[in-house]
Amino acid sequence: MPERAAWLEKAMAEYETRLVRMCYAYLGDSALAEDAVQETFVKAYKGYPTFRAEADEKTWLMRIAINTCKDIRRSAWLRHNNSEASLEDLPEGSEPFSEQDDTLVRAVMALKPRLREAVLLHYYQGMSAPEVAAALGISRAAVYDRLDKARTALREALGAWYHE
Amino acid sequence: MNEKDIRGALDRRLSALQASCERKERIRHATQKETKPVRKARFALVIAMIAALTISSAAIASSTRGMNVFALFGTFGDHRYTDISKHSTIYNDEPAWLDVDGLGQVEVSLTCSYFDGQKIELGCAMVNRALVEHYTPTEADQVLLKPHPEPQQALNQLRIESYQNPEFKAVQDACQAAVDAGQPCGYRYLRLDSERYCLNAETAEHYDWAKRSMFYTDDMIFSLICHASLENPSDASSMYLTVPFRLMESFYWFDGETWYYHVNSSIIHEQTILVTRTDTQ
Repeated sequence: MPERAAWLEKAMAEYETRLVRMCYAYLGDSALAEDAVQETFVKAYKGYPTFRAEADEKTWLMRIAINTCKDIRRSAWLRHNNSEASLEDLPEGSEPFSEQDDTLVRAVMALKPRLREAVLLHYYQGMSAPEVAAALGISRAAVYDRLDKARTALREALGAWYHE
Repeated sequence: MNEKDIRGALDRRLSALQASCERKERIRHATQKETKPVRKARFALVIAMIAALTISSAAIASSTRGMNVFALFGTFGDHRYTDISKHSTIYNDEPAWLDVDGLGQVEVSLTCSYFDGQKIELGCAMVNRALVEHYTPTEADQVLLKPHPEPQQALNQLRIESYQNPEFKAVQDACQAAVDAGQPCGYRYLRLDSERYCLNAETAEHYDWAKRSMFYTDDMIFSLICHASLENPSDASSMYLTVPFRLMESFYWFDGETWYYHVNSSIIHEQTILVTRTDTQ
C-alpha cells in the first residue's frame, strides 16, 4: 500500500470518531459533520505530500478540521440556516448519558464559535495551549483569553451545577 | 461539573456518532477521485453511458418525472425550500430506467434544480432504489467478511430505509432481537445513491455536496436534495451538471458474538442536466 494511503488508514483509525463528534459539536448538524469529516480527511490526503514531518500530525489535522468546519459554517447556505443544536435528532448512542452530560454539551455548543473551537481543541481533543494556538493560527495569549471567556460563559450556563 | 468534564460528557452524549466503515469507504473513494485524471471528453462518455443504461419504453409509467422535490421538502422538512421551489427549474425529461441486479428496474430522475451563481441545489427522485434482506454467508463469503470495527453501528445503516418500509424494518428488528439474544443473524443492504459530488460536464470541475437531505415520500419515492456552495461564485448563465450514481452492496453478519461486514460498490450510472441560472430565467 502506498505510504499516503497507509497514512490515511492509520489517521482514520485514530482520529475519525473524535473528529466526527467535534465537528458535530461545532456545526450542530450530523449531515454537515459527516461532510466536514470526509472533507478533512480528503484535504489531509491531498496535502500529505507537502506535510512537514516536523509539524505535529494531530495539530495539522485539527487545523484542517476546524478550518473546514468554519468554511461550512460561513457558507451562504448556513448563513440562512438555523444552526441551533439538534441533539434530539441523534439516534440512540452506545453509552448512557446523564442530564448533566446533556446540559454541558449543549452549553459548549452554545458558545460563540471562536470560543467553542478553542474549548473543543483544548478540553475535548486534549491539545495544549501552544498546540491550539498552532492549530487556530493565533497567539498563545489569545488561546488563554478565549479559554478564560469560555469558562466564564460555561459557568453562567451551568449555574448551580458548576463547581471548580 | 466544569470544563474538565467536557471530554467525558461529549463522548457519552454523542456516542451515537462513531467511526463507520461506510464513511471510510466514501473517504477512500473521494481520495481516489482526486488522484484520477479527469478527462475533458467525459461529457461524450456520459451521454453514451446513459444511452446504454437507459431503457426507452413508453409503456413504463414514470412516477418521478417532473416531481418538484424542493416543494415537497418545503412542506414538511425545511420551509426555505418552498421559496427555492418557486425559482427552480423543473425537468420533465423521461427518467432513466436502470436494470440493476438484485433490485430489478430502478427509476432515477434529476427532477429540479436551482442555481444562483453561488449555490447549486439539485433534486433527485428514485423508485425501487434499495433492498434489505436477511443474509447468511456462504463459505466463499466468509473469506471476504472482516470484523466490523464499530459493531454498534452495524444496524444503524438501515435507519433511513426502515423509516417507511415495514419489510426492511422487520429485518432490522429481527437482527436487533437476535443480537440482543446473542443469536446469529445477518442482512444484505443493496442501494443506489448519488455520489457526494457533481461534475461540471464542460469544465470537469467538481462541486462537492456540502449537505444532502434524504427522505421517503408516502408513496415510497426516495427523494434527495443535494446542496453545493461554490468556492468561486460563477457568472455562468447555465451549466451542464453530471451526477454519478453509485451502487453499494453491504453484507453484515453477526455470529452471535461479533459483527462482520463486507462492502462492494461501483458507479453504475451518470446523469446530466442543463442547470439554468435563476435570475436569467
